[in-house]
Amino acid sequence: MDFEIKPLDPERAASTSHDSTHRQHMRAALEMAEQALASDEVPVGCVFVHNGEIIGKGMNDTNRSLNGTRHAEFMAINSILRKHQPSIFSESDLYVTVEPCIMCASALRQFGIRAVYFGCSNDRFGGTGGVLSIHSDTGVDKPFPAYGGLFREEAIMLLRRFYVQENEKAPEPKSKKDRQLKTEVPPLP
Amino acid sequence: MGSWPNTQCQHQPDRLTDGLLESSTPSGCLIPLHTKAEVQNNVQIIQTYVATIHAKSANTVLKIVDDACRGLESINLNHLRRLVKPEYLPVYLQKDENKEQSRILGRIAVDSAGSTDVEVASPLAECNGQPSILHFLACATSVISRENLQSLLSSALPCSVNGLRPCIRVIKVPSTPPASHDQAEQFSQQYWPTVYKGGNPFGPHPSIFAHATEEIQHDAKDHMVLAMHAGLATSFEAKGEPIGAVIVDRSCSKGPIIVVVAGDARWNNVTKPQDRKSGNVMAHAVMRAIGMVAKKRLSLTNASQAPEMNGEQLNSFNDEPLNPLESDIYTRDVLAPGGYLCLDLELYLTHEPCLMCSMAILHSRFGRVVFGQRLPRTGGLTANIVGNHDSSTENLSSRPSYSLWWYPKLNWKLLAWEWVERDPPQASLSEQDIQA
Repeated sequence: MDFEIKPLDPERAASTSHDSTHRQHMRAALEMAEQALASDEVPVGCVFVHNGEIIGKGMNDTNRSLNGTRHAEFMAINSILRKHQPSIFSESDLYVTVEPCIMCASALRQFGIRAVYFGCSNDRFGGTGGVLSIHSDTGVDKPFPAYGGLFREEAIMLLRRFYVQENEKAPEPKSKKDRQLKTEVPPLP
Repeated sequence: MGSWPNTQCQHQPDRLTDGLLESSTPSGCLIPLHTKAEVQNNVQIIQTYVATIHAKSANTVLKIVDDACRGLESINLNHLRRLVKPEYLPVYLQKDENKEQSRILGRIAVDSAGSTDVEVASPLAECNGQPSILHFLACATSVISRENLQSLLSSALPCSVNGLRPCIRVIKVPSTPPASHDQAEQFSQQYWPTVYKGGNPFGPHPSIFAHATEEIQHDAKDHMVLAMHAGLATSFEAKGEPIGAVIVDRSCSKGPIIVVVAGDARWNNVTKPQDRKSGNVMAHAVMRAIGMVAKKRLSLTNASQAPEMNGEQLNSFNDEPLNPLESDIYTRDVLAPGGYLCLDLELYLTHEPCLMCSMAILHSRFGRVVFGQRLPRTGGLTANIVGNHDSSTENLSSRPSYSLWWYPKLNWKLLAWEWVERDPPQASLSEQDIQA
């Protein structure tokens, strides 16, 4: 699979491209997204990495929990805080298959996350460039860098596989029999 | 303080809030928030053609031009008058109008390109010396070219037989509808006669806001007091900051029902660092309150029992009650089954929520939110900074204003109010960097 990191901050391009550990961590995040898909959750997964080691994993849990704020990042943070103090995030990086939403981007910034790597952009709720730029706006907490495009196609395909399914919980489920899974992913602009 | 009412008065929400009201009764009022677009009020200006036409041909001309523009780039001009009598033109155009009259009466006129034309006497001037003309706002200049418009008009105007080319001018008009009668009046003087159609292009319709304000203003104070006590309760035990949240269900005909209360718990099970940084951000009062609603709903789907409380298992979400005040409300079976997230629920907060909590409010589909103290350095709901010359906001003048409660690009919108107390408390968080 051919991919490259599309850095949002060009200055950091040299230090982030073609780094196999980034790929390794994002693969772990994609595995979490696969698990989410298998549990009828919107397939978003993430891992937090501290000193090269995964300290927490999370997948979207909004449907099971009936809580619209249980995004993958929050699930992982919850498990991390069972063992660690919040200060660990200032030395940790997040790998998440879809760009963090505005809520998660603000949470990550308040926790002092060191850096965020994501797969595909989120043009509906994205908080690191998709809709707003919570990671870099003027604010009281330290900004963090966010890099998108790592395994972008895989992240998009996971979402598409979810959205061709029928939502049985919807009041009037739409028939999606005629829906076809598209496999072409347009390149980034 | 920390004196929440005794827990014996379970299932009697009125007595609960009454008890709180006795201890402190701030009075205040609800101020609807403004959206970012309302505050900026950034009027988009475009260029449009205005043609002088014979009144009798007005309907024909209007139809021909609108037909020609249909399907092309759509620019909504519904708030602008399309046909205007000369006396209703804005003053700045009436000056041009005098030249135009001269031109129509067969004198020498200078057109906008600067070339001089000699026109023949126009049939427009034949009506008892009172030329019956109208000014026609044709379309945006981006839609069709001047030449195309010229030939469209010529095909419709009776005067074209005499070789008179209809005069076309380009003027600036607001492409965004006015937000009020006052603004329509201002547009009418500054640009072109404009109509206010009662809506609000930059935010919720004023009547929706007025109706909702009417509905909540009688008990908003009670919920604000309860929120304050929820914040005091957790901060009293050093579990969090004195920030509180109350969620209310107004869908029941019996009146508002308190669903959950939650205080901030960012320091619960967290070693407070010297610099008092952020603590457990997930335990902000709003996040906890949302989590408690979800757990209550979950218990409705699993079995008809009170939501389980398992305080022993370390749960960093802190979405279980932490004190008698919270558990008293939490254990009440008040939510109807089948509800979705926090749809149609109301949220009362002691402080303006941070960006995380503001977006969580949207994700949870709340219908209304009321908050007490503005937090201009961290809040996610207000659009404008109060007191621009305030030293506390000076170094954050470049901080964007978000007004997430009504943000056009996002897929959820709600109503938001600021609760302004008549006698604000001495101690204030607003000049700190705290995220509520």
